[in-house]
Amino acid sequence: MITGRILIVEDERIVARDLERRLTRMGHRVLAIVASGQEAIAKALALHPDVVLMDVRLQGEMDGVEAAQHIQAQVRLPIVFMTAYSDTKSLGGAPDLQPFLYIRKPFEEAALRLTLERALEKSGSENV
Amino acid sequence: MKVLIIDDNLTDRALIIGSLRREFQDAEFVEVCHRQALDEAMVRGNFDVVITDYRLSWTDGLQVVMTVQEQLPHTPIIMFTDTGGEEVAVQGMKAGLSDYVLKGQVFRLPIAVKESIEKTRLRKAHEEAVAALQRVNDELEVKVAERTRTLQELTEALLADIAVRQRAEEALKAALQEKEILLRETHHRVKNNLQVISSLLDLQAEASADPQVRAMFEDSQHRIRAMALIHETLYRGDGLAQINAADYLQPLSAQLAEAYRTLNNRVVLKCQVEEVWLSINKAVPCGLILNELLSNALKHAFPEAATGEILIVLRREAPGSCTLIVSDTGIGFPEGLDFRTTESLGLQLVCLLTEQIEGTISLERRGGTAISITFPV
Repeated sequence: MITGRILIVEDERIVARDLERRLTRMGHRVLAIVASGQEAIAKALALHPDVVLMDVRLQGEMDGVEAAQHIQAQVRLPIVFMTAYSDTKSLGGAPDLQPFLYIRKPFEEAALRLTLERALEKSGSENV
Repeated sequence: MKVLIIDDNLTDRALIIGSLRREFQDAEFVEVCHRQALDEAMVRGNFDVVITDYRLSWTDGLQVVMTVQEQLPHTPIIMFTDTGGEEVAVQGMKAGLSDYVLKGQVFRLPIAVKESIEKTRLRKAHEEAVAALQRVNDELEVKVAERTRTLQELTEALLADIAVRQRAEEALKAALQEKEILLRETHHRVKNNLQVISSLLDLQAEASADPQVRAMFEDSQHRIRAMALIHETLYRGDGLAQINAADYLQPLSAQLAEAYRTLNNRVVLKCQVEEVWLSINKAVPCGLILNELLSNALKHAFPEAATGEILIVLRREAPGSCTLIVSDTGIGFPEGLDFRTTESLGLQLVCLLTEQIEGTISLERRGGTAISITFPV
């Protein structure tokens, strides 16, 4: 199983905590948990995670799609969106985002595991 | 026929009367030989034809023509004379004379009278026709003007009406759009809250080391996801109050199968879901029922290395009703166990929810297990 260093961007603290526990159980390392787009950009550039697990709706002005665009303009790393919107339409504003993966909320553990594995394969990294 | 004869000469008057009497037996003659008699005749009127000499001791024929024209319009006048000549004839014709007959040609007089009367009759008829036409035309113009005004008023009223309607329609559209946005937002928030609840359960489950307790929490999470999927489907769909069962039950089955993916290679999942529109009141119980039945099949029907198939069917029955069937080719429902009185929470939920949607439930044990629920939609 591929494991990696992951940045969680999620403004619901309970959901963020749940994600942290699940990812840790799966063997991943959670580098940080942030709640806003600005923090996400700062942490992503400072920590260079293997994958960013990004909620689409965030605290503050900036949403997850915009934050992802800022990040990918500077470093190439996979972003996995989490959305209760669940249709790719809500992510339609970011066709240039690559790689591009998403999971639906409420997430199924199996879906979370699979999507992260796929993202890590793309990043080609296995540093825990 | 009434003839007015204006002539000073008795012989000439007799000549006229003699000439006309032959042609017009019932003719009545009024003879005038001085001014007063002429004035009286003009007052009496009602002559069919006037015959006048040119040379009169008290006036001349042209004056007579003018007087008659003025007093008795539409009465033909013939000049019967042997004086005056061509110039007088032309002047007379210009003044309104119908004909000009020389006394030497008295034989022409009856013809001239006949023609003059006919000509005058025709002219009068023509004038009347023209006048009638003019009247009709005038009336028509008034009517057209009236109709045009009415039409203009109607058009203005209609335009005002259309403008009012357009404004109302726009307001309605805006209100509808706002309602739709609010509904979508609500569905989104409900889903988000369901994620929080699911996370809470997961965090709580971690506190227990007992795998059975953790499995129970996991069952609850499946139920929550089944409900969340309703909101997602409603959020994505065209209508925000109704859901196409096919759009909901298929992804729900796939989602659940994914959770039990250890079975993926051994058990084939098939869905045959017809297009049935469900209100949210039916869709939530229906989704939870499917969640329980499919979970049961995935958990219990294929123990160890057993292989087989699970089939989910939703089909329309008689109008206003449909049937949901979850069947498997597994080991079969335990003999002697009544699904209505079982301790299993899942099956209790199935019975409760079937009752809630006013459905009937039946179990078949041939070659596996098949549970059918028929309910009104």
